[in-house]
Amino acid sequence: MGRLQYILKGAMGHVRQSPVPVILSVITLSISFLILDSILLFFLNFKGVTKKWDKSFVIVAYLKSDATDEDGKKAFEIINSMESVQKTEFVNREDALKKFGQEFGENSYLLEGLEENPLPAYFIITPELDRDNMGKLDQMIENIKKIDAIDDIQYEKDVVLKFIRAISGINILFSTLGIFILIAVLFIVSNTIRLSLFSRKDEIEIMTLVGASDAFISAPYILEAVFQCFTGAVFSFIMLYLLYIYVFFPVTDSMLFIFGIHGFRFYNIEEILYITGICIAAGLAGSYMSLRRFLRA
Amino acid sequence: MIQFFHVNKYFQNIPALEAVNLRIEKGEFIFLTGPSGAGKSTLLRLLFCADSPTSGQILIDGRNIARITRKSIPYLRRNIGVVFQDFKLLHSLNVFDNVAFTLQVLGAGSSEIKRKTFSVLQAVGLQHKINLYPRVLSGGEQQRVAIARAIVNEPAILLADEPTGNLDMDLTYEIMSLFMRINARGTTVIIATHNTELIKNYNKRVVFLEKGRIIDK
Repeated sequence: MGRLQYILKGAMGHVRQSPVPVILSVITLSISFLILDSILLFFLNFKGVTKKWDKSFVIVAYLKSDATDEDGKKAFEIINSMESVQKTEFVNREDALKKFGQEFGENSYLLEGLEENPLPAYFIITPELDRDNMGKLDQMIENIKKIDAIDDIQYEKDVVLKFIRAISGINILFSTLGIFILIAVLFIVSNTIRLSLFSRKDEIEIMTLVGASDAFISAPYILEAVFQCFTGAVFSFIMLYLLYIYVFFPVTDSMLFIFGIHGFRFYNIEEILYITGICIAAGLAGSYMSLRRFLRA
Repeated sequence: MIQFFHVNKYFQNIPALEAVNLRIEKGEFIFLTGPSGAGKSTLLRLLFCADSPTSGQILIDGRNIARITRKSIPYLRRNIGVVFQDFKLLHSLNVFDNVAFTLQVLGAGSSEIKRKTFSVLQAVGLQHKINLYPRVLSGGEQQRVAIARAIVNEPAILLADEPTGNLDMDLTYEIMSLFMRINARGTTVIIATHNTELIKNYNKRVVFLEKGRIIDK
């Protein structure tokens, strides 16, 4: 109990004795975490959008005009059993004509003069997009082409590739920024703890002389780092939420075509806890770096 | 018992201690003396593991501290009190808290801390100054606080590096009599001092160091 009390008193004592560096550190950490939280929030929302886009990518496989219903059923089974196929929808010739008519809108009467339905039946295939292995998509398309009843396939591979490249680029950008921010956090915490350690050099020297272990000496500083990072994380979420309510949401609300009906979302509780954990872990790593260097000097 | 077997200590190839062989019995009182730079402080630093020997073995109660792991050092130090010439007191803490600091660090309960701290402050004659801060105390009083802090957890060994170096003659004898009393309770006391006049007043074993070597005198 005595030691725990001492550690807690020590950690709070540092904050009380030298509040200015601690406050400055918390402000700097809050801003750093705010940048990190914002990047992650955009990343999450962007990921959500790309998932929706993934679903909108389809392959249309047309049946030969002389293909029978039996041929169509067989082709459906083959396609549906393929590994990379998420969903297959069959559109028969009549439905194809109806859909075509709907797309014509007011001019659908132009189709009324047709004596024979010229449109083939087709499949709308939604593939499982594996961005890391686009060969799978190529393989799947090749396999569909090999089916006897299939006449032609339409898909926009170039668009998909461009889209995938853009996503990879944005992923790399977000990850790089995130890593830079985490390094900055390590640096800030490490320096604040180092200042704290130097201001209490005499006390630490006496502690080592009377037989305090490294863990016991470190504990108040680690607690201080946890306190700073936790407070910084809480402030950053409050600031981010205000930004979300007054800036992000109103701006993105006008971009329904990108973010869809649910719009630009905020973090859920699990995500907040997870990110707070990352912030605290960065603080622990920063304080560990300083303590290790100081105690071994 | 403390034993040095052919201990050498070099700092960047400059010898601080050479071929030191020494045996100190449990409960003994020893003066380590010699001119400045003779290796007195280095010898003490080896004993509380602030430094490790370049070669040789140092045994404390049969345990070789020359090969001690970093993790084990705090446990060894809990059995060794150390007193310095510059007292090394915490000026933000009062007398009581400076002494209680050792027990707090070692995890004693609050009632034990109070009891032992009062008792040791009484033993060094500072029971009436527990609420004062080091800056208002005399040099002798500050050194008594440092001694109280070093012995409050009843270590088996007390090391003192020039403990009277900053004190006048009266205070020096006051502090020395305190060391004698501590030794009388069974604590091994090793005092490093270059004050040979002081040593003459006490009938205790003297180890003379010169240029890092023990000299027979």
